[in-house]
Formats: sequence, C-alpha cells, structure tokens
Amino acid sequence: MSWRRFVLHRLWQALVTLLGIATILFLMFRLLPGDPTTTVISPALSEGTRQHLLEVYGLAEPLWIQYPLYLKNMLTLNWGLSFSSREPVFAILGYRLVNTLVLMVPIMFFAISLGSISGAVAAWYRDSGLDLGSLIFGFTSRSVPIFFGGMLFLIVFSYHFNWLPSGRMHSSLFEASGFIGTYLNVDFLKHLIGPLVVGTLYYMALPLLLMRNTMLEVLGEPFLQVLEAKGVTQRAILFKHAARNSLLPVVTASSLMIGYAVGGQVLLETVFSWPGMGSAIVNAVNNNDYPVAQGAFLLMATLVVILNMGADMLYAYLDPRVSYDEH
Amino acid sequence: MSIRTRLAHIELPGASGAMDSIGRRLGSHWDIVTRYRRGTAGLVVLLVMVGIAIVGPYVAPYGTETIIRNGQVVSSQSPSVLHPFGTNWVGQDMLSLMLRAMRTDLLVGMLSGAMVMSIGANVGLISGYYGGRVDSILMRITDLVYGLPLEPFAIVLISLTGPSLVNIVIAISLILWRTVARVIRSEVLTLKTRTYVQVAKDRGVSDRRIIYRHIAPNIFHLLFLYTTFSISWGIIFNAGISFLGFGDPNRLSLGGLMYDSWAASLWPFAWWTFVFPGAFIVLLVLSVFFIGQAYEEVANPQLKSY
Repeated sequence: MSWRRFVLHRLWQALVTLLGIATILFLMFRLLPGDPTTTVISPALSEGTRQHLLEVYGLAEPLWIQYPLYLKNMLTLNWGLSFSSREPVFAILGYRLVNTLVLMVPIMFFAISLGSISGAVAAWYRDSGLDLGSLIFGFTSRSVPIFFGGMLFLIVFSYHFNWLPSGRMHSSLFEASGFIGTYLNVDFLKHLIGPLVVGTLYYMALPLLLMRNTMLEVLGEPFLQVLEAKGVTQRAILFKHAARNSLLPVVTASSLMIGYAVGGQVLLETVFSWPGMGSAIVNAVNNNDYPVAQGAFLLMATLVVILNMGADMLYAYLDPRVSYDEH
Repeated sequence: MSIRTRLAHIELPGASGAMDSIGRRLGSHWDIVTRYRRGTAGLVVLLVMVGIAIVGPYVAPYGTETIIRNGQVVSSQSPSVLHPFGTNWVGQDMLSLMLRAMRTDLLVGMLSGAMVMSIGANVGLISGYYGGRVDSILMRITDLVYGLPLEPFAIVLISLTGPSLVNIVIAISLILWRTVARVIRSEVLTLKTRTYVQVAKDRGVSDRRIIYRHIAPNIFHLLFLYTTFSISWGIIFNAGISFLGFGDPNRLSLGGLMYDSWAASLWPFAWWTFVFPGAFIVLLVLSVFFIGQAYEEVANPQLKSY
C-alpha cells in the first residue's frame, strides 16, 4: 500500500468509527430505560412546540425511520436545542471546544516532550538518585487521580499561598471579545497555570516511564559505542542518537494517552471550573439536558478519533519499517 | 509490523526465555532488589487493604451518624485523638466512613478486572484464532471502542441507567476490554501457527477445544498482567466517576467521600476531608500496579505497558 492509499484508508476507517459511535449514542438515548421523547425534547416546552419538535426529529416514528433522520441531523450539525438555554447545541459547544483545546493541546505537548526528555535523561544516568527520583515520580503521578492532584494544587497554591486563582478561565470582572482578547492576556494565563501544571504532571508519567525503558534497551546497542569512539559528544549521543531511536513507542502510546486525556478532561475541567467540553457534559447530564450531553459526547469522541488517526499517521511516517497492511 | 497490531506486538515468552532474562537481570543488583521489593511491598499493602475492607465496618470506632458532643455537632474538626482523620462538615467521623468505603473501591476494581479479562480474552482469542471476517468485525468494534472517551461514556450511561455499583462496573468494563483484546489477539496470531495447534487441527480437535484447552493456557501470563492493570485503572476510574457525583448513592466509596468534600465547598478549609480518602485511593492503585509491574519485569521483560 502506498502512503497515499494508507492515508485514505485510515481516513475511511475513522469515518466508519465515527458512524459507529453516532449509532451507539442513538441507541443509548433511545433504547435505554426512560421515555425517548423526554431525553431528546425538553419536557418543559409547550405541547405545540413539543409536537413540532417530535416531527422534526421523527421521534414518533419507529426506530428505522428515526435513524437515518438522526444521522442526517448529526451530519448537518442540527444537534437540537439545549433544554436549559434553548440555544442550538452546536453553537454552545463550539466555544466550549475551543476552551478545551487551548487547555488540552499545551498539556499534551508538555507531557509528551517533558516526559520523553526526563525519561531519556533518567535512563542515561541509570541507577542514580535522579533515576530513582524520576521512577518514584512516574509511579506516583500515574496513581494520583487527576482530580485529587487538582485539589491538592488548589489548596496549596490558591487557598494557602493565594498565588493563583482558584479556577475558571477568567476573573469574574474580566470582559473580552474575540480570540486574542480572550486567550492572549495575563488574566487568562494566570488561570491556565493550575490545570496546565496538574494535567502535565499527570500525563507525563506514561511517556517518562516508556521512554526510560526503551532508552535502557537502546543504550545497550553497539552503535552508540561506535559513536563514542568517533568522538561524538555525550550530549549529542544522548539526544541526537539514543533518544531519537527510542521515540517510537512513545508515539504509539501517545495516541492511547490522548484518548484517555480527552475523557480525563471531564475531571480536570470540573476541578478547575474550566468552561470546556468536559464540564459542559457534566452539567448537561446533571440537568438532564440530553441534546447537549449527546452533542458534547459526539464532539469528544470525534476529537479522540481524529487524534488517534493523527498519531497513527505520524507513526507510519516516522517508522519506515511499518507496512501499511492490515495484519 | 502492521499499524494495528503494533500496539500489542509482544515477543512470545517461553519458560526458558523468562529464566534467561532473570539470569541476565541478576547482573544489576540495584534493579533486582527494587523490582522484587516493589512487588512484595505492593502485595503487603494490598493484603492490608483487603483486610481493612473486610473487617473495617466492624472495627469502625463510630457509625455513620452525626456525632454530637456536649450538645454540639462536631463539624469539620481537624484530626485529633478522638477523630484521627478528623470529621466532615456533617459531623461524621472520617476514619469510620473510610473504613466502610474501602469495600466499594476494591469491589469495583476486582469486578471490573474480572469483566475486562473475560470480555477481552474471549474477543482476542476468537478474533485471533478464526481470523478473516470474524476478525475484521471484532477488530472494527475494538477500534470503535477506542474512540469512546471513558468518563463521558460512563456518566451518560449511568445517568440513563441509574447510579449503582453494577452499572459503574459495566461502564468501565465496556471500555477497558479493548486493550486486553488487542494484546491477546496478537499473541494468538503467533500461537496459532505453532505445530501443536496444527497437529490438533489435523486430528480433528474442535476449534472450541483448541481455543480454550490448547491456546488459552498460553496466554495466562498476559491475562494476569493486564488484569492487574485493569484493576488499578478500574479503581481510578471508579473514583473519578464517584467524584463527579455519579457513584452509587447507597454505598460509601473513597471517591464518593471526596465528592462530598468537594460539593460541601468547605474542602479548602478542611483538607482532611479529601486528603485521607485520596491518599488511600493512591495506595490502593499503587499496590495493585506494583504487583503487576514486578511480575511483568521478572516474567516478561519485553512487555512494556503502564
């Protein structure tokens, strides 16, 4: 399979996966206990509006007629109206998605890069205090639930020392419009530090432990001794040769990690009252606002699928040994 | 190595392979000590935790009632001799609540471990052994599950089916089996080309018997390992789901106690109401994780999964 065909194939696979996820959601909201009309249309609406919406979403029809209609509505981004705010779901979630991404992308960037670097350094100074320290950090950070880490961070840095805000994305009096006005200012950055640090420390553990392990293997290989004999500096050997050859497993694991991170965003955003997709879905479920819950879920799943696909392509691109075949 | 199987690509460890690697690793004294120590420590901590979970409710110094002393509710008291882990804002003794809560966390961890193991092992065995159409369908489903973010899936499912321990276990297991299935499948792909499987086939042994009697015993080491990881993830995810307020309302759990602390908004001024339950979750997760890790590094150094 050529690279081009591989990319097309992977895109096709992602689409099929998304279709499957949309179907699961459809079945969950309609087949599980409870009146499906109350999970799709607010019971608080007047009878006339209810009837109208029942028709629009085809809820009075049997499932096999509802299903294609549902898919069409999902595809055309006609995701219904929020029960609580009466606004279109997609409009509400668009803003939330940006907020989630401005937090999650830096977390993933720092977690993967800092994790790999510290893993490589730990392996290089194997059996030293530094190595032991990084191992202890890795195991602990992996085992501390992210919301617990968040609460500990807040109690120390916000409540005890009063250095950082105790959550949310802006101070209460802050008003801004536009992307730059919202995200490029000191107020926003101050609010970003907490969830960014907690998220990075939590997700750093996996790349760190993986990198350390792979490096230990690579460091035993003879080509490094040849380089040393040729007079290449230690620093260059560590970062240019050994670390580079240990990166593949980290890339592989990253795609899984990103999947967990999208879900984990729910906890992180709840602890830090961050107005993203994660807190949106929690609020929606708590308020029985099913259209928003469904939309948020679908968007988060899409994010996972897209990021997984990206990691797969990156992996295939980086590793020439990979065949693009199925098995 | 293909794109899909690379995640689960593992070299087959024969018994001799395991012995070799132990021998090789004896060279590094520091390594072997910490490795075994880690496993032993994990086992000891876990056994203590299980002991606490079993006898906890019977030895708890207080009940779950609001404690009134000298005509006053002992609300949000910091740790003292009378209340080693303090009291919460309702005036309940934290230690007594935690002694009753441990059961739920352990139970959810073990039940989801068992369920993840049985779904994952069967999907992996069947998919790998039969190949072809069965394999593509099962692997498509596995890919699909990889697209589902766990916490959102769990809270939507639980809000529709009701918060109960069983529903939480189901929600967690429906997601986590995917890794086990992939790992087992890729192992079975190698195993089924072995001579003994071919011989069994030629002799007309049924597929079912080959899968469960001849191939399955050879994946137990992997299964054990991934079950320990699933248990530790199960405990973490259960804590998270409970922390979001979707825990079983009829049961105390460590994550649930943290949710109570969080929801009371007094937690920044009463650290003991969430630090102690949180620390116990960490201990529980670490102990299970260490057992799996020690086993992994001694028995199969090729495996790397955190």
